[in-house]
Amino acid sequence: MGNNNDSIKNRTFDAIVIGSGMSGGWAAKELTEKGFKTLVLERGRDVKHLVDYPTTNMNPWEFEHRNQLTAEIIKDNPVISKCYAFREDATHFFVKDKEHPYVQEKPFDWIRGYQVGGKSIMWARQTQRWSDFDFEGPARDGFAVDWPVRYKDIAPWYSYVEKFAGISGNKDGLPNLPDGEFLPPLELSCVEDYFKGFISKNYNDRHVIYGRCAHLTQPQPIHLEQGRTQCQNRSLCQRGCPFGGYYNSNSTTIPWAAKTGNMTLQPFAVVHSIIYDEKAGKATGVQVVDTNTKDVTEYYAKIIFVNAGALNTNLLLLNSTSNRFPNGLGNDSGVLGKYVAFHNYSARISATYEGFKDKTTDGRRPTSAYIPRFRNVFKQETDFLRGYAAGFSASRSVNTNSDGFGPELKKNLAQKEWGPWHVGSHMMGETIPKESNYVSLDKTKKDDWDIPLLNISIDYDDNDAKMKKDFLEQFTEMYIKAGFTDIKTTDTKQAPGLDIHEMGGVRMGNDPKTSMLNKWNQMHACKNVFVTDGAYMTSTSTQNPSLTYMAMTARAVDYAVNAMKKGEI
Amino acid sequence: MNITRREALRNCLIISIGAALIPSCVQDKNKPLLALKHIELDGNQQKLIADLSETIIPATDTPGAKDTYTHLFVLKMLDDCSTKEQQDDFKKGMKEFESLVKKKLDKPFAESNQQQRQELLSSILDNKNKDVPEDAVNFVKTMKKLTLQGYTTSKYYLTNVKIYKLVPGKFSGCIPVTTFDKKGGSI
Repeated sequence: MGNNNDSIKNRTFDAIVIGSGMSGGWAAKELTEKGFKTLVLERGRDVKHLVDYPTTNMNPWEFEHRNQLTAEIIKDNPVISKCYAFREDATHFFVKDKEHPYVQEKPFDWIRGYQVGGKSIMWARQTQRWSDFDFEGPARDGFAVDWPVRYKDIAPWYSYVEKFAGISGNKDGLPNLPDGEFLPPLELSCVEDYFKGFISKNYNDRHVIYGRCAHLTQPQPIHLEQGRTQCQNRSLCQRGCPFGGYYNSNSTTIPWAAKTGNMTLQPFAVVHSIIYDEKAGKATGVQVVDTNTKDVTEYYAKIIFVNAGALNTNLLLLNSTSNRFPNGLGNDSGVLGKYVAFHNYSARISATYEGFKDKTTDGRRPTSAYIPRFRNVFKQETDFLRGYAAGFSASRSVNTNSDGFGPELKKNLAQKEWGPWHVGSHMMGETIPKESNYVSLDKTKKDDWDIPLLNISIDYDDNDAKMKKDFLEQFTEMYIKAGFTDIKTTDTKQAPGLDIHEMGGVRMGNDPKTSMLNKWNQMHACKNVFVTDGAYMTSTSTQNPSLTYMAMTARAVDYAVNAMKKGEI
Repeated sequence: MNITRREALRNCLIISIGAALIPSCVQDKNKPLLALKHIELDGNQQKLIADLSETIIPATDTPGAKDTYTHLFVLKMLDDCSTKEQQDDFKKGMKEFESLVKKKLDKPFAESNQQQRQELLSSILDNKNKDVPEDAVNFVKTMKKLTLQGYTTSKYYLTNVKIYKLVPGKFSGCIPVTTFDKKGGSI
């Protein structure tokens, strides 16, 4: 480690952003646009938009195993192989089990993507705003702590990020799922549209809406300026998109930050810990391990944004110890690593519909219909807390007759016989953050970069079981009433984690005694450190969380920059 | 179908399917078609698999299994995408199948005609034939499953029979089936 003045100067920035994924990309964009010389540290490799999407233009027949995983990959990767997007076309974007082990005190499928762009490359791209029925949940229902923010605080920032990222959707006017700055929605299929009408006629409190997703259905000048263009409905998003048709950091925020000339992007740089200076009473920088050479270097900055990905942000803060913070940076309250929650995705329902025999869909669609939470929204009405949202999709199948052998079989295969419409829903349930759902540092095991392994101890509870039962009952009822037949319910029994919506551990709150961050995502006890990835979530509600991470990140940067100008940080 | 076999064949040859396949075109009877890593199948066994694929999906006025490289896909999947247990079962079944060939056909499988081969396969899958060992039934089922998977995901099939569009452009949620059929839609 060089310690002459020049070397230190070269390693000093205005801001450091730890992580380049969904929220880190936004921190980088906002900071660099505001003129901050910003170091973006990414533990994985660089993935350049267009350049590093090796499979993006491949046809099905060009994959050696036609997109199936090999037996060896499945054997070596019992965890990541469970992820729906981990297929031959996208294995290169996921962390393999053996590369980065962790300790499952309880079963937890930790799905990760270590590269520039993080999981924003492979995310499911569904984006809904929170409302006050979500932000006020913990206070009303008596769990976790009250969110220190309300919808009105975040609304302008939702608009801000939506316009830049490009969000498609329909203005539905629902108080519990506020409308956004929408590009046109993607069409519903005939049966989805039928179900939408049926539900609105038969239920006062339930709605079927167009999916809201981060796709450019009608690119605006700002998107063209980013070099992105119209979504072509390939639905091959997990490979990276040659059109920039959906939002990811790689196509949008990272190149935008680079264009300012203020960003230094450093891949292969894992942050071991944040350095705290007791005299100054703030963080001064980070200790970084080069993932290849294992050289350790310190970098310095006036402010630090932590966007390592929810659980890794917990890990990093827990590992950032000092005399002042023996239990992890900013952890005066003792809540760091605790009250971790997720979304309960463990139930599905499917059925068939015999109507609309003369109609079908054409092409693919990167979203589905969406059913916002209708349980316990306006008041408590069931024997469980909170509720669930659900996807809803209906498409038609073509039955292939594969009877026989030889010419007869070929003839059978060539004949197209339209099958019934298949409909399906999956639950997205809110889980209640609890002290007993936590992550911690393993006391003995370390990784190759001398960083302790993360212990994960997260489980479902009785509330989740009741909610799942209700989801299956309510959807069975709605499906029956709507005339769907051959209804099948599935309890996937999947472990937490596979929802890829792990949140919390570094929660926001008004009281420093019971929370880590204030209403600006700023550490109560270390004012120049901000946490704006999923770790800050006080509760989870049911929406796909990324849009809220983006909005809160832009808002936090705005606050941080103003506070610095005023000399408050 | 508006494509000649010759054209389809040429299209298939254009697909880059890996340099490993080139030698197989050059012919050497007992030489394996593919170098396999996880399952041992000698040249004769590989040839039997290729002939079986071709029996299941023969070349007619449209391309068959071999024209679409489906037989090589079958080998690849047996090699890479089957567990050790599945591979062992497959080989057991292959042995049973070979003895059924000896019993029921008067010629080796390769020299039998399409009709004889098809009848054998059908009789093996016929529930009424109780004397057929289960391993042989599963062997034929696996061969058919993999051959169908390969053929229905081949370039020929996805560009001529069931159209796959890499870049569909528009998604339409509700169009008449007749419109779909007329313009060759994709799902």
